[in-house]
Amino acid sequence: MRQAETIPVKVTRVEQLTPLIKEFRLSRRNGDLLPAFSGGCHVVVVMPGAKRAIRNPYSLMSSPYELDTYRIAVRRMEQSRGGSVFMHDQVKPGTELDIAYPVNLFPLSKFARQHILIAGGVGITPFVGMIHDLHHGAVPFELHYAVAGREHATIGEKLKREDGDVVNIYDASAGERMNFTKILSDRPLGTHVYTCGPAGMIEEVAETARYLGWADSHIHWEQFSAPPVGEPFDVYLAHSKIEVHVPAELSLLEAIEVAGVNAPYQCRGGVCGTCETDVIECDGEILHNDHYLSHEDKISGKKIMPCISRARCRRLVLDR
Amino acid sequence: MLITEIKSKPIYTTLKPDVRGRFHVLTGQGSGGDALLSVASQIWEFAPHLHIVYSTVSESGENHARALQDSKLGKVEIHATITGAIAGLERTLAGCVMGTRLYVAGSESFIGSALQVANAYNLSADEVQCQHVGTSARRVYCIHCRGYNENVTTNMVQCRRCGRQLLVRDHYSKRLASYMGLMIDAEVPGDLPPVEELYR
Repeated sequence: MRQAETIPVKVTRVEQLTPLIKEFRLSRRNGDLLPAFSGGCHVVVVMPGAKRAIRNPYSLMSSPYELDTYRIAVRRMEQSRGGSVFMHDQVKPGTELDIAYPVNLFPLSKFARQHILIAGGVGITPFVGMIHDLHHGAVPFELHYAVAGREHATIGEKLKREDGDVVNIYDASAGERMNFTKILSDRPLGTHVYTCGPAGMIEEVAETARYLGWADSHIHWEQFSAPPVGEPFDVYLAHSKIEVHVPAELSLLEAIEVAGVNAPYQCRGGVCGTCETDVIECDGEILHNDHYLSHEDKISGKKIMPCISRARCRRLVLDR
Repeated sequence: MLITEIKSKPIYTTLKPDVRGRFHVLTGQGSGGDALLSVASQIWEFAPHLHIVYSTVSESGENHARALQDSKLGKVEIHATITGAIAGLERTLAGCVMGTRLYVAGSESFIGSALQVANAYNLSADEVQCQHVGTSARRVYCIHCRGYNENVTTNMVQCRRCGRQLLVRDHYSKRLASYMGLMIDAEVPGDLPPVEELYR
């Protein structure tokens, strides 16, 4: 698979939406329209970090019907690997960045009879894009949005002004909590639920839906994880015939890229499956952090998702 | 001729109770009633919400209406016609909520019609099971006049609506719940291969 192609863009506007979230507007540097996309799409933003390029996935919040500008929202994460802090501190109107083509790993079901969207915090972003799409259809939808406090609810309040009662905001600081059993009970056949937010929320929604008898094909979620910092280890790339050292703060994929090997990727968050790589040899343990491989694949020790997973071993040999 | 793996056909299985479902709708026809009875008694062990929609129409003459009614397994509707049963299924699904599983047992034509209704309610593959019992006769859709021909057992059929000689293809349409029938002697009228019985 070829290395993901990128689009040169320029930041046209930066807006502080909440105390922690900034919105960025991106346009093509040459003024052309951006590629068409659908609600639920994300782009990987390539940031020129001090030591190496940082690549983070962000959902598109703009309307799929307006392609002169993409909008993304970034939550500042202090305890992370630097991408969101770079966006918040370094990126200003006029900053030049590169983005990968939009990819949709969180599409709306085309045959649904009702959509229930459940968001927590910055997990609202894919739903903003989806709601633009839903306005063009006749299928009813509801949004349930949990925030830490009123000052964090800006994106939800804007949606509420446009869509009214179908938007429900739950302010945790005022003790408001979603009741997933109530939200998911007695829904007509053909209802689909979509969750984006903290891992605990995604799990609880899925568990509640299954408890109520929902089939898995109607339960959807998106969660981009950041590659965790871990122990350094060494890997031998059998195809390229090179030894690569993976330091604590780089992901396996990033270390492979730094070594000059083009490896396939799309989401960089352990979701899409594009970077799946065969393990030829491992004398220790693979630390799977992805949401893609099946349980069987994980325990087989024969596959790894280098964008997010690491190894604890002396020798790891990959078919790359 | 044209006997192939038919990818577009529904997948048939032996009905098994899905313990993850909360509400269970069973529909069948003719000899399919036996399969319904068997799976219904297993579902009854863990879920008291059962609704059975059965049509007595049968090629083989088997009638399980009495057995289903006497079983007292949930609510049982009996219909004298296929269209009646399909309309009953439609009404039942309209009142169902998420957490429902559908079980279908009958001829391929009956399964196809039931799945058309299931699709309209966006039931997915993991919410529906189908068991094929009885005849393999095909419902054939004339791609020229758009007429339907029921119970076709041969490789060719004269369209009962427009009179064209149709080749019965293995191309199955879930949307139309039919096999495609295509005029076979368009170039040389009357030049027909021998008729063979293939689908009994």
